Amino acid sequence: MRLNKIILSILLLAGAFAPAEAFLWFGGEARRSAAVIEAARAAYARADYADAVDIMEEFLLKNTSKKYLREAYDIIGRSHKMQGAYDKALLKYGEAVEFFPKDIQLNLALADIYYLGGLNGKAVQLYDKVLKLDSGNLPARLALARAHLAEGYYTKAARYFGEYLDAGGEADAGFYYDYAVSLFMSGDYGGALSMAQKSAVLKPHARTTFLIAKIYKAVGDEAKAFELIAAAGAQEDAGDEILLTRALWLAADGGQKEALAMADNYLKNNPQDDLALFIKYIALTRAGRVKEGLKYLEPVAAREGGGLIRNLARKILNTGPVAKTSNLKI
Amino acid sequence: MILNPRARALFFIFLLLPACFANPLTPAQEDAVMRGFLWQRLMNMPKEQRPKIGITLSAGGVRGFSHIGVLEVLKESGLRADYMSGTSMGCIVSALYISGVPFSRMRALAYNPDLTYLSSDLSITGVFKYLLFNKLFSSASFQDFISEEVGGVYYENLPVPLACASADIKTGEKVVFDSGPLALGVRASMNLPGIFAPVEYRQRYLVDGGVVDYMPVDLVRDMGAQWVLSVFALPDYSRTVPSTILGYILRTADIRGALITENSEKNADFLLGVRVGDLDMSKPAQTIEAVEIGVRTTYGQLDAIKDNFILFSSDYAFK
Repeated sequence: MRLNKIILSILLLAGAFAPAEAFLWFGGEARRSAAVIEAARAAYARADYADAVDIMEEFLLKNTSKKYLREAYDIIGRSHKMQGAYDKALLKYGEAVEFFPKDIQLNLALADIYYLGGLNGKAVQLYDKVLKLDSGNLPARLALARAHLAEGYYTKAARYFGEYLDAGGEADAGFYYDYAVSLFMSGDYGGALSMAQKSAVLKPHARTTFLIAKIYKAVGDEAKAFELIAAAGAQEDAGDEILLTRALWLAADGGQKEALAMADNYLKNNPQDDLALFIKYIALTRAGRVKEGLKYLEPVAAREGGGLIRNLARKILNTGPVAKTSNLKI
Repeated sequence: MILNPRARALFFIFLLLPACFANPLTPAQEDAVMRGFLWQRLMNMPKEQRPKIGITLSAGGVRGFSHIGVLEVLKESGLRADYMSGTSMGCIVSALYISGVPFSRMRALAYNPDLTYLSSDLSITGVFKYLLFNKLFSSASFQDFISEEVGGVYYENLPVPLACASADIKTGEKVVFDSGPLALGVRASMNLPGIFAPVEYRQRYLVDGGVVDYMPVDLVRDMGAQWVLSVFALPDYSRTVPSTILGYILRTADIRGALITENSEKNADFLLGVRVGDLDMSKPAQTIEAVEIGVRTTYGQLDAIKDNFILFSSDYAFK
């Protein structure tokens, strides 16, 4: 009898420290939760994202335990993201980060949504936070590099690309290209050339050849720059930007005849194109045919709206230059 | 070979297909192409063949740390000043920049601004003397600090001509330093009246140039600048009221400075306003944030700055 009392006391004491779920229907609640989570995972795996969201939203309403809370939020967030509903994903991940402020994956996921939504400032803040929590986090470092590149903060972008590489991050052609762009825009032409060449070796692409051409132009190697931009233009994936830039270079520096032919050809399909018309002006002016060249600026200057090319045309023709003079109202 | 009507139709569709799928550039993209090309062309020109560039940095106390970020971005973009001028903090930053002090060093100074750099009198005893006996602090140690940072250089030996504005507290005149020891001119330009004793130099009693010229655009024009970029470290008082004597003195100087600046603003070709809020110098994160605000503001306006210069220089660009 006395022994029974002792055993009962021990059991009661042990029960006082046990989680509440263990007592609810002898762990049935925990099993039900696990089953619901599994159903949501299965729905996500078969790409039924709407179903996954519904299951998890109901779970969040009814669930009292913190055990699967994190995963529930993550599944909802990922499902919204897969459906392109970034605003809903943002809300959900935002809630999740409030519950789990130091969870690296949730913070990263929220930062990624901000980045995809163009909210670079907020993305950068969160990626920074992740790096403070985990200084070796490679995805955050790479994401910071790309976010800074997107906002035009080239020196920081280059720094983070470099740190990512130094820390042993995997680099593909796209990585080296982005790194090269950030170095080029921050004036490190040697570094940019090195990275761009690595990108070109991994995956030849017209835009990479074009970038290398621009690097050579920046350092004053005109011959190499012209050679490479011609090569870029001949590549399969070359676009109008390469073509028009080459025409512009030729118009300004010794290739006026070819520039005129390129501009005329382009204008056949794009008769209103401001840049092609301006290229004609430059080529004719450099060839000493100034009056003839000015005629091509008239339609450009007459068009509505601002922008550098139109304002330049107006300035040259003296029909009213409009240059922004401050970011403040004076 | 004569094509039947169906074949002819297909042939013309084939000819037109490339046009249908062509992806012409947007006006903004075309502007970017032109901007990149002309900017590089102009920046690579010898300075005798393009308009002379002047950069003016305003006063602004600790807000002036933002000038560091502005200059970082401008340098990165390839823009090189042919002339510079500055008042107070603007003079300090431009002096360090022209003397070749690395941006990393300037950022380190911003991160940990040490008031003893300004004056060795800033101790409990010194403050006691100031409050009880009206004994102004001496800024001589600041001159030593600057002299050490810039290597004891003279204005005449700077690679880029620099002019710093100070004020003669006796006569109210603007006194310009563009010759002699650089550190002396910088000290005079930042010598806050009412806090630091005037710098006595050639029978002048010199204090902070913000008293007479908060943003000395005229100085770079006088030196020969044809195109002037003026950088104004703007205050934002909306959320705070000063709570210290120094705070009130600085706020008064700011308000007066902003009023003086109105004319200078119109004399610049491009006025870059950097909105830095009230900063607490005791918090390193805030002062380095001022640098970052300078960086971000400049990146945001870089295309506009470039366009302004390109339009100004259109006569030179196609020669």
